[in-house]
Amino acid sequence: MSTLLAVEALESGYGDVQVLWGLDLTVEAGSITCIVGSNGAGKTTFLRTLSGLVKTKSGSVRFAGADVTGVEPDAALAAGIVHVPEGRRLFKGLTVQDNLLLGAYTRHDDGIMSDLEFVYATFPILKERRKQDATTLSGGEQQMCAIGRGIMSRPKLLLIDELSLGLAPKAVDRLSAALVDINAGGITILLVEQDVMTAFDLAATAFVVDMGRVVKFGATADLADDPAIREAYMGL
Amino acid sequence: MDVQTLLNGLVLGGLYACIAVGFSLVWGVLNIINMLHGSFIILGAYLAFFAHAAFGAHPFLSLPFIAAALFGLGYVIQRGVINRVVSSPVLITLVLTFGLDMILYNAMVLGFSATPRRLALDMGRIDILGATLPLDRIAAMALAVALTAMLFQVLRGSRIGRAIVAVRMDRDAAALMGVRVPQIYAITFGIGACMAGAAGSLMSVVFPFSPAMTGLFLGKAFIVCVIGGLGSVPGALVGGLALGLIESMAGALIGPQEAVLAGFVVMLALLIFKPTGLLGKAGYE
Repeated sequence: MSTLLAVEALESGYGDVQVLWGLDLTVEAGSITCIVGSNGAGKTTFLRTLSGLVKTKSGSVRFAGADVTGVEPDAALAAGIVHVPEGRRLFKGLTVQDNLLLGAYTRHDDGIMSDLEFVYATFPILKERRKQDATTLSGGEQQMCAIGRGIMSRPKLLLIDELSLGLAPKAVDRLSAALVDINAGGITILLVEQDVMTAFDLAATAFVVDMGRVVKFGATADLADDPAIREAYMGL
Repeated sequence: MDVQTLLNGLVLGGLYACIAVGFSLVWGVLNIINMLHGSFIILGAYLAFFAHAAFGAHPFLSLPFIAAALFGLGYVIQRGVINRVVSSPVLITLVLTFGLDMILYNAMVLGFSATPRRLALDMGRIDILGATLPLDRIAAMALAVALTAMLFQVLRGSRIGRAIVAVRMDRDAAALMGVRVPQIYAITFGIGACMAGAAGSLMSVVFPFSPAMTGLFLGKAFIVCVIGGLGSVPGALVGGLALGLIESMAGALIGPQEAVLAGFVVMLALLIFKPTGLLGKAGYE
């Protein structure tokens, strides 16, 4: 496998508050990789730095052979880095379909409608509800819509922040199965997740982040047996 | 209420809707109370007047060019100046647009003088159910409502419209869709100025105007937004028609001197009892 994303010594934060303190991480092309860690570890800030919402202080980000360090959100998107933000962040007042089409906002190719059909085939409930306000959907359906909106951007790498937050276990199972399908279709996935069990079920490789750095990484099968991980993050 | 008062009110109301809709859009999307709006309207009226005086251009024909020119002016002002402080508290942008308005207002006094002007067209008049209405007013009102409907369609059905709504709802999430937020801000402010310019060129055939009236029209835009509810095109339309009817009824009942006052009284009452306005809700449609 080849490396799709290579992050070295990344530092960023908000104003005077630095959150990432030299984060190193690689994501292999075609993989599902997860980042786990406690509240405030810097997981969300890391994704926001990758997608250009948070300014990079120093370090480097290489993606698919190109330098994308500190680029603006539209350039990150153009490179193929698509961020499904925490809390879904669907656009209120717009229908499910209009939300999905906003995912394709920068695209001018003629594959938009076939991608829309793919999203509807993956999540049939979205097709049924395509004409209703996206924020009236249930939590699980909103997450489907947010992921679908991400797919509409034609990602090479899909960043998903907190897949399972606030969702029923059944909805999480449904979304996990969909992510496996989406990944099988050739989209690399980087998942940030507080629920370590869910994350380890999905991902082959995991990075443990604490205090803005990667403190441990490896195959999820190995990490799941690591007593320190079991105690700190799985409550076992 | 007799038919004449009702029709006068509706004609006035259609123009008020067109005056207010751009103001409402800028307020709703950018959270900027644009003090320049009244001057944009008067500038549009002057451009129509001079296009008519110099080239004999009919104001309904020069309107698209005036609207485009005002769009450009608005775009440049937002892109070059207001975008620098757009995320600041509303008072900062208010003071900035107030200052820009003083420049534009005084430039118009210098350039056009304070003498009231009027573009007299006289397209004839028609009788409707015993009431008499000049055709130029009816045409101006119809165009104003058509322009308002067009803006509604653009916001609802176009790619740019979806981006504007997305930016209003969630700036960060819109940026994640690849929307260039500063550019959408500039386009939105440009559309606001464009609607003001179009409204101004329509007003020029209905009312006499001078630079001293910028505050009057700004006030009307404000009242319409409060009555109809901020943040939607239908709100501006309802608010505009309501203000038109209120003023024409007040004019008939208590005299034209007090008609302007009536609008402000209704606005204050709504602020006390229903501050969201008649159609007010979160979300721009």
